[in-house]
Amino acid sequence: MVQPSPPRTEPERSVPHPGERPDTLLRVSHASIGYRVNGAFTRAVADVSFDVAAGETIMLIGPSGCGKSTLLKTIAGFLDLADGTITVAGRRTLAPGPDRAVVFQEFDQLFPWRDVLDNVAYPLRRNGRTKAEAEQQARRYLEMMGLSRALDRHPHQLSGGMKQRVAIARAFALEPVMLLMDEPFGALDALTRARLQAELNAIAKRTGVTILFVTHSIEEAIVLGDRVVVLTDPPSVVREVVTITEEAKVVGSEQYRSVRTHLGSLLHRDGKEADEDVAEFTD
Amino acid sequence: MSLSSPTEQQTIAPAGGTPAPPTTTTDAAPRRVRDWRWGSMPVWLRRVLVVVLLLTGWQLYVTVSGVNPLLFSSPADVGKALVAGFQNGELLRSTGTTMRVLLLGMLFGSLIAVVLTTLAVWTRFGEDVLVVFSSMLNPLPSIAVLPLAILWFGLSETALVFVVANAVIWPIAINVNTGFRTANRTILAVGRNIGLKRWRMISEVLFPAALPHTISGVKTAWAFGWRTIVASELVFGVAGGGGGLGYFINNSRYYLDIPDVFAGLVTIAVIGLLIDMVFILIERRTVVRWGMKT
Repeated sequence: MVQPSPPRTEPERSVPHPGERPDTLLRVSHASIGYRVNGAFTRAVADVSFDVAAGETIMLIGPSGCGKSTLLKTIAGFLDLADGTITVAGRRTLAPGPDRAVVFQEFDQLFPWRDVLDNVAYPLRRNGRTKAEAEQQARRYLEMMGLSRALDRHPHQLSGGMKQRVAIARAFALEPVMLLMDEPFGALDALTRARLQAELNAIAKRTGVTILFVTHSIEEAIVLGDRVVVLTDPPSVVREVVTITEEAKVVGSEQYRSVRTHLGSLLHRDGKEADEDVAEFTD
Repeated sequence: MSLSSPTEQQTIAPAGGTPAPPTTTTDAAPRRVRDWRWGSMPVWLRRVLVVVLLLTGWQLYVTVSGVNPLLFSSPADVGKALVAGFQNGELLRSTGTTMRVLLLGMLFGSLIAVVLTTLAVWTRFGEDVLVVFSSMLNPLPSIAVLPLAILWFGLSETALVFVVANAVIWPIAINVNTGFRTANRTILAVGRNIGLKRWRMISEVLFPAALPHTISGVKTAWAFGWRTIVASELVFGVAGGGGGLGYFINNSRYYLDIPDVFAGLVTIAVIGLLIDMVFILIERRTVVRWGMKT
């Protein structure tokens, strides 16, 4: 089902192991995050540490409720850390900002009262571009996402897949320091999802943007990621960081299958049995 | 509901009949050119026919029953009074006065409502103020404030504007506030993510997101304002002040000019209709076009 991404021509970007690297962009260090339910403090993320290098696409995966989305929202600045530090380009992420553009899972993340072009151009105008510059840039990124013919449509006239394309174009057009994607394809049908994964790979390669991508699909993690950070059940810690080689991205190949089995065993180690055929399509 | 949608529904499913058979069969009978059933006529025609029916019944009743013309006028006489009233300028002037007061009251009322709701979304204190004030003052029929208004401002337009503003603040404020509270969380998160600060969040995200509620609030406010202004003018007429449609109606009764009384009522009804159409147009160009109308 999942199309293989085109072979990458630039130097190998994946990193063998997190450590002291000069090009570290995102550093999550002993992050602990919790929230209050009826006054009681619940810990979702116990102690998570990992580094992301500039230009890398890193996937965050884990069982339901493991706090992967919570972690992304904290990096985005929507939630506070209980303990630990998170820095992007050396600066702590205490509030939301356009340097960490977020693509959400929900289809209603577009402004319904703005057409497609303006949905992408408006955030640029509010970040110091003139109207003409903003629209030019918006057109460029919308074209990359294949939306040139939908510029004057309003979001309610778009399909779910097209809405997510607009949201991705909007995030890329901001030319952020890094991109945070919170299961953006989670509510799409399998075919649309595969197509959007390929498009995301293409635009990511073209722009070289650093991406943190939360997913609960093992296949998506392999197809899109340079590395996969696997979290445990909550309160979560990092179970393992798996590097995805170019060979493993060829769907159906020996390496693909072995990485998928490996990730599956990491995810389901907490007692739940993996049903691989089901996991393939329903995640 | 937009005016056009009932027609579309009617053409798909004939009124009262069994559901139309699927049109996939090739030997389906060609669509009849003329279909005289009520439901297959265009909306405007149906509505016009209802008005014609009303006028005919009215005229028949007056002609046949021989009712005292000092109690009930025929549509023909009312029509003449309307034409005369607009020609000699009296009815036109009265309408102008009423509309001016109403618009001024709406303007001040909405400004205050916007300030109140903005403060309510900005600070906790503002929210408390809005909740307490609106729950106290909204149930109060604003015509009840008229005696106080007359005491403070005299028999002047200011008193009327004050009363109308009182009538329209709360429907607008309550609805805008509901719109703010129910605004889509994801959209708000996007607003913060792209770096919008508080003022732009309110003016460029919250207000447009709350527009469907705002429009229905302004609609309700118009209806409240209308009732209040006409009632206030009637009281003014009794009290000896001048101007406005309510005054026109009361004054015509005083001089036993019954067709003019009806002419005043018809004018009020027609203006209400026109305003309704303005709202439909506004909705079509905004919330309907944006797919935000539920």
